[in-house]
Amino acid sequence: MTRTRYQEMLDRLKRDVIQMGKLSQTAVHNSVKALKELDMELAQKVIDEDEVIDDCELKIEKGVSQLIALQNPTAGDMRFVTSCLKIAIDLERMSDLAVNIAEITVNIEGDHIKPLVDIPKMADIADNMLEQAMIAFENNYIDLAKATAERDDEIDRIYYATEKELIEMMIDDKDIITNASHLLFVLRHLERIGDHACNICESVVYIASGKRTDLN
Amino acid sequence: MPDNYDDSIEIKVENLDLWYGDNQALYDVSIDIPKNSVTALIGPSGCGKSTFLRCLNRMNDLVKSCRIQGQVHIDGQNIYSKDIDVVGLRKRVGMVFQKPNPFPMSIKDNIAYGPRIHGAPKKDIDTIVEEALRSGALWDEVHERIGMPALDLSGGQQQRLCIARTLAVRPEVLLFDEPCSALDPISTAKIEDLILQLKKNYTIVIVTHNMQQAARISDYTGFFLTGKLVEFDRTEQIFESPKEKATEDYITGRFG
Ligand SMILES: Nc1ncnc2c1ncn2[C@@H]1O[C@H](COP(=O)(O)OP(=O)(O)OP(=O)(O)O)[C@@H](O)[C@H]1O
Ligand SMILES: [Mg+2]
Repeated sequence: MTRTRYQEMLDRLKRDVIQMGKLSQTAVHNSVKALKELDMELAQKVIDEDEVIDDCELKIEKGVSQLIALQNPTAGDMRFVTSCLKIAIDLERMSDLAVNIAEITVNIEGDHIKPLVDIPKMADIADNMLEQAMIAFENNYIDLAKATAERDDEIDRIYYATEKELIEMMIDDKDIITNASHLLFVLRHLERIGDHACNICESVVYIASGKRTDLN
Repeated sequence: MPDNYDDSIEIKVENLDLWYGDNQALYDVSIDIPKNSVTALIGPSGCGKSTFLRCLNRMNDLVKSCRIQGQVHIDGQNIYSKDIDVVGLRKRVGMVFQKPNPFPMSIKDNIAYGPRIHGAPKKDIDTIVEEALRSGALWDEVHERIGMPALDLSGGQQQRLCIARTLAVRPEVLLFDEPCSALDPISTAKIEDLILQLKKNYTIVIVTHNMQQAARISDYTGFFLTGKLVEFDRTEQIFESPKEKATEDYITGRFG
């Protein structure tokens, strides 16, 4: 094996992206847990820890720039390096969305208008998609990436059904409009998180095969 | 062959084998090179790039021990057929080498040398010299002193002079064997710009060890390894998603 320093830089970049994936996953997971249990402390923690994730993104951006400037990555390496930047952006957006959910939790007054069932279910899927997408990234599993992206349909289904339900509840009872519209935003955020997980799956397919696909 | 391969073919090589004595240097090489394109040949030292290039204008004829099997067609004509005029062929298929090799005479005479041999009328020589120097992107730098010895030019200028000299006999195909390896980055950039200019009128094949140069200027890239053409495809394809692992290992520098 030649180009030891180059390989080290590539390995470090991969580790950083995997690490960032774990942090984003925790943020998504905790944001929904905090919402479900109206745990203000946990919600605040998600908000506070976003800075760490932003730092991760910067570190990855720097690693990518250095690799391009110093090592001229080509072929599979080039696909990997440019995709790391894309994945970092997706992960950063996902944790921003988790922060948005946490901020909603902090602002919710009183109890939930109904026991939260569908939102945690959606969050479980999104959380799981992110986890699988990052496993696919770590191991270049094309099939896992494709299968993971397919789960976005489930998210979309729950999204539309729950949105309809919430709107009907608001029509029936004007007093819950504020809290119900908070939940509508949460739905929207989770749906977006699923989309970002799909983007990561697309990046994995591109890295591993060179094919650009639309899995959304 | 690459996808969307619809350009018209200038050079068609079929099942080319080549031996130097008992040593086989090329194995069953087939390649279609489109007109008005730049094709880069890359590969580790000794893999047969120069040997292959020299097959395209029969420079290997000069090597006694060399034996060739297979076909090379240029513009539809089999260049190894018996009735081919080899001098005429080398006029049609010009070659520029790694080390600039101007003749020890004036700039003007360097350029005029080929056309004179091929019988250009005396009254046309000045025009031919100016045109060739312009095409070689050297005119602006030397037009006031074309009587000075070519060997007094800088290395980069000498190389452009050699290109201009090749152009002066109006070839169809230009072969470059590592034309920039002795040049600094600025002279290299000038030659690269020049090559991109020239491809409008010529079909160009360039051997280079500089991977980024291949990526910058070529439309097609062929990767050779131990006398075999491992992969030939559009340059973007080779540098983004090569099909063969050996190609990937070579261009990412993970060779050996
Ligand atoms: N004139 C010759 N007589 C005998 N063998 C030769 C001759 N020219 C080249 N060879 C052999 O043929 C093989 C291919 O050589 P060639 O010069 O084509 O390689 P190359 O790819 O151009 O290498 P480099 O990148 O170092 O210029 C080598 O093994 C070389 O030793
Ligand atoms: Mg050579």
